[in-house]
Amino acid sequence: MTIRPRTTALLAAVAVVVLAVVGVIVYNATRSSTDSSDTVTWWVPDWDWDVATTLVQKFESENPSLHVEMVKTTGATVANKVSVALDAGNAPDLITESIARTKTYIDKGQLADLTSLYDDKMPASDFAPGLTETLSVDGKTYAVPYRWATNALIYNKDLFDKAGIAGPPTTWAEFVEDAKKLTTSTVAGTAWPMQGDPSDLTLRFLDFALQNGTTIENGTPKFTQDSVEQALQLMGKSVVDGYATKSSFELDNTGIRDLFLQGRVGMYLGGVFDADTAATQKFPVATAIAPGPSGPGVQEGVGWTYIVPSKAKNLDGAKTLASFLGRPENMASLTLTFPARVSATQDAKFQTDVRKPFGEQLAKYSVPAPNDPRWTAMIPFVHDTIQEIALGSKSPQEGAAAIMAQAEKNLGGAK
Amino acid sequence: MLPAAILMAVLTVVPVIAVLQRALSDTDAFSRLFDAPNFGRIMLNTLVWTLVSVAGAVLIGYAAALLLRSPYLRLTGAWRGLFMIPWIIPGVVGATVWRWSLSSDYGLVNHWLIQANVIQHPIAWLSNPDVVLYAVALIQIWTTAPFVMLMVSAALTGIPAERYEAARLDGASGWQTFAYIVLPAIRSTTWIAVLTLVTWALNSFTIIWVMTSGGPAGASTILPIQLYQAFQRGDQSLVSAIAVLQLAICAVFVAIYARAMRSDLEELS
Amino acid sequence: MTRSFARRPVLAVLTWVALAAVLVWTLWPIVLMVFTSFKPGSEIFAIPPTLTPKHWTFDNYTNVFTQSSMPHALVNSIIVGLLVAAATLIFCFSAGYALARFKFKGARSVALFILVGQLVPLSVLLLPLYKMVNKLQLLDTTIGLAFVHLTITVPLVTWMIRNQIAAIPISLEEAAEIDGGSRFDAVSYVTLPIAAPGLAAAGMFAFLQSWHEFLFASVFATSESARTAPVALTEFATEYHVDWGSTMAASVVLTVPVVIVFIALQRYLIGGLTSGAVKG
Repeated sequence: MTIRPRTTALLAAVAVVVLAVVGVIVYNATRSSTDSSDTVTWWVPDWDWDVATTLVQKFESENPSLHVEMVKTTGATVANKVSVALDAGNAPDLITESIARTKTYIDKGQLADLTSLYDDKMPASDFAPGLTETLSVDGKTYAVPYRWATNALIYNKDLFDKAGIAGPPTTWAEFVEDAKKLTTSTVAGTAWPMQGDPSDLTLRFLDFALQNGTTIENGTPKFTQDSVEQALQLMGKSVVDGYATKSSFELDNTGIRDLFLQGRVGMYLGGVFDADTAATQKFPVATAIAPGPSGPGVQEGVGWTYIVPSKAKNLDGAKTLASFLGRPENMASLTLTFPARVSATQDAKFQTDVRKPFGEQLAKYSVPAPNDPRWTAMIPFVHDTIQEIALGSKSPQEGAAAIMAQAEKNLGGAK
Repeated sequence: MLPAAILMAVLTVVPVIAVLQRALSDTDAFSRLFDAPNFGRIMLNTLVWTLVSVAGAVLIGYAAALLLRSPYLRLTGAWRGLFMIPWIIPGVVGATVWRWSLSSDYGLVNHWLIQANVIQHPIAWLSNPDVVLYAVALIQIWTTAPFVMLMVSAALTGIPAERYEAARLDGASGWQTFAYIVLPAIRSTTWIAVLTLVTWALNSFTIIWVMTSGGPAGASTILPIQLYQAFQRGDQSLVSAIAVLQLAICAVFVAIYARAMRSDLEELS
Repeated sequence: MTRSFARRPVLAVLTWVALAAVLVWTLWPIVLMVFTSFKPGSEIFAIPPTLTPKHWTFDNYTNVFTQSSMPHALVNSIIVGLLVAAATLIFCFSAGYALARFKFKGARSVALFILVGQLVPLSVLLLPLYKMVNKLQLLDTTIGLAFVHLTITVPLVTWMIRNQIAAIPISLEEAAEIDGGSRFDAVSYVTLPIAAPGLAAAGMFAFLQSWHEFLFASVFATSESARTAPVALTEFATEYHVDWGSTMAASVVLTVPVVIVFIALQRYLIGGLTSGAVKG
């Protein structure tokens, strides 16, 4: 039987597509992987890219035998990418990763021991208090943190003047009082990031709890009923009573900043990037140390770190690069917020008016955020509980009891 | 046929086995899942979300597809192209634009309603726990209805014109033509579309995550959101447990589908 | 048809009103997206809100084309999407045809099991597929990405096509074979033309499934060389800031070509490749 022209054409087209695809696959599968002894692959987030490029040039001129291959990651994709690459054992040599996620990789045994990098040129004691400890297990340190920051109080000077408030609040009572004074039909005293990443909200909650009795041991929060209730009361009641905006439920961190820059929010606990942005726009912004129950209040530090996978192809090259990036001047130039090393904060860029309170907050009133995966697993529940109180559907006492019960169940067995 | 069979096995059998194997290696995760304080709430939300978004998308998709067959319209190709846009634009962008529109601070919907004196105070579309689940389901309908329109449009062209003609000669009304000619002809397409919509509803977190991240107070948290959060923190055993649960739910739908299509399927075996 | 138009003007008006309603529902968020893409950053969250920009700017578009990997990512997305659509159609047509036409033992259970495969959440498949693609040395390539995207298109498209073929009377094919053609001829001259609108819809479906997919695309495309559009969109968001103007401009850039192509392909979808079907 004969095959007609259209059939021939169709079969040919299908054959071409199939053969082309199979050809590429076979070509790739048989391709030998390139020699990597002189190459260091570094996954860099796009916001660090430009500065990182200059640093790499400097590094390569210092180490002519090494070539750095940079790969750009984005904030929304880095977590999945890194965890899958590490799980599959197909990792680059150096990765810029969030400190919050690093503990999980350490626990899975996926990171190389970097303790040897902490010599007299880079002593662990030069890092922010408690920082290297959170990245260590059994005396071995698995990361080189380079960026570290806390929140502090950011406020609108004009709105404060208009409301007749002399200076920033220094205690919870003043915070509440000032927020009430600032609130008008168009301005809200303060706002909370109840939308977006749940950990943004629980970070603030835990800050308040830590100021009042809750502690962090080995990266695990140890809650006290009283401090939890007070923190829930402070945050929840502010929304119920209307001096924190009801639209908090629709706001993430950047949403609050946008409202603040529209003069719609009087003050909030926010990051140094927000303060910088406002200052660049000549907005009447000022900053202060976060208020606590009866004086300066502690804030959790969060940041980014360099990690080297234990299966890195060029372990030595990665360590050389990590050590280079760990120098104070390089940390100072790469960080978007503050550097992880205290000696690096002397740089003039950290001494602007709006940044000084952040620097003081970091140096005197900060503690590394908990990084126990069991706490991370609890975050959605705590997040929902805070919102229930802000909706008025639960009392702070009930909320505190629920959180304590969950903490007992999930974190109870901690050492 | 052999390479096709192997590829099919890789693409369908392996995943199912991988899920079951992982989930069964750590049955502890199931108790964590079922004992969670908000488990019942999440299941209920998932049910409402799935029913509302699937029913809405089917209704609007059908309406649009039938509308575009109307003899009174011109330029139907262009209109059909425009209807497709919600399905073409990146999901994150669609959800973000809706979030802005519904915001109580700078949302145009509230702004216009206030200007028109319809309401005095902004409606909290996304922060009222009684409203939020329907609001996000509405956006899911918005993005998925074009898919239904596409499938139904394609199926409608398969109906020979003679059948309409015969119905007209028999004096059938528009509704009768729809019920006795159009509906039976696109039945299998409808079922496939519904099944696809159900899978999407049970696998999509982008819209909810962007618009409310499951809030307020878990009022819009559904299974995919929980799965996403477990995945984000690397809790693989919980991920597998939720995946098995989702498989079980989907399997129910497949069973219903198999029953509804029984006469058609029996030709196979 | 013009006859009935003259006879029932009320119905004509109602039809146009209904069309307008559906258009408003569909398009007004798109309108906001387009206008936002022309707004300077300071205007996007202005209170009170405005739909149109006060100061029109093309900066966002300049940014998309010069400062981001979006142009390259758009090309990647289209390549991956077309590969997926082509592979899906070729593969699913053969599989769907076999399921619809060949009577073999267990066809029914195979058919239903294929559907269940569709329902596995992607995050569970991530690691096994990653290892597989890594072994094939296809990480960070468009082909590797297209391969994993087949997992989200194949099961449903197989079913769509199976149903379409099952609806075509087998007597038509047999008639072609009696006329002296082979089975392949029967398929290419009889089955394919009748199934064309459904195949076009299925191809569009496969393309858009791949076009939207984020999780696999973000993990399997390690560097920018195989990065697709949804992932490139995240370049406009840093940890503390999202450049919404550029994000919206990028989505306009992404959407326009696809919509144009879709409108151009209309006639195959609605189209009258079959006997006496009504022109759209």
